[in-house]
Amino acid sequence: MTDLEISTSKLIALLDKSIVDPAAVLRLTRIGGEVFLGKMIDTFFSHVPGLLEKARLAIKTEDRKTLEYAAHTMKSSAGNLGAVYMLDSARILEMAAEKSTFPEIEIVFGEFNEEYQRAEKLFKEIRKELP
Amino acid sequence: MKRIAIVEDNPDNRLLATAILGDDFLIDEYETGMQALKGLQLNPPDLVLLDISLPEMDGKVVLSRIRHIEHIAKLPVIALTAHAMTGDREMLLALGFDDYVEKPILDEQILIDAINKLLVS
Repeated sequence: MTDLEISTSKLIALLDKSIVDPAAVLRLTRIGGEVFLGKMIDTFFSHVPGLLEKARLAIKTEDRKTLEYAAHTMKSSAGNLGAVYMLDSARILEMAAEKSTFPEIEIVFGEFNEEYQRAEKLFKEIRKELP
Repeated sequence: MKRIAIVEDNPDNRLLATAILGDDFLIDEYETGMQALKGLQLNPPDLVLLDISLPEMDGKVVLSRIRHIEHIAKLPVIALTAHAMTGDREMLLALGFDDYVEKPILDEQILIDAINKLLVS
């Protein structure tokens, strides 16, 4: 067994189906190996936390356009890494940004933030196992 | 080797598309519509992958500008969008996009097939 295979078996064990679609994560390793999966996670962390803060500020300032853009971009990033529940929450936040009241949006954002935190924790754990 | 321009503000979408296509195509990356319009004119690619939800100038506006610049007007342009609403495909084709690929790109072969179809034709 190679080092790569050892790492892949650890990776599979880490893929919590209540957070990610394992097939989507493994697809990234098929495209570019575990190094590529690591790069995708690093890129996720290079911009998604900033978008989360942008969304939080947009709610405070009642800036629907910025909130919708942030939610849309986070939805896409969640989808790339197979974070299906974060993706669904981002989709709901994006729709809420367009037409819900701001008290309603705050509730939706809270739910999204919970899903983000779960995904963030898992991706950090996965990242530790990757080259 | 054919050249593909990716116009996409989300860095992980660019990284993924480049990983899928980078072995078979030369890739030019642009983060904004304005950068793309400059770059496409200076260095015209064989095909453009154009995100719809770009900040400042969205993909529909970028496409409209491309179609009005003589030497790049006929470039094949594939829309990339995470909107995925009923009727989107028809709406985007009616606007002048040559094809449409949904994000996240769950099956890279769909993207590759869409590109190859347009490059062959």
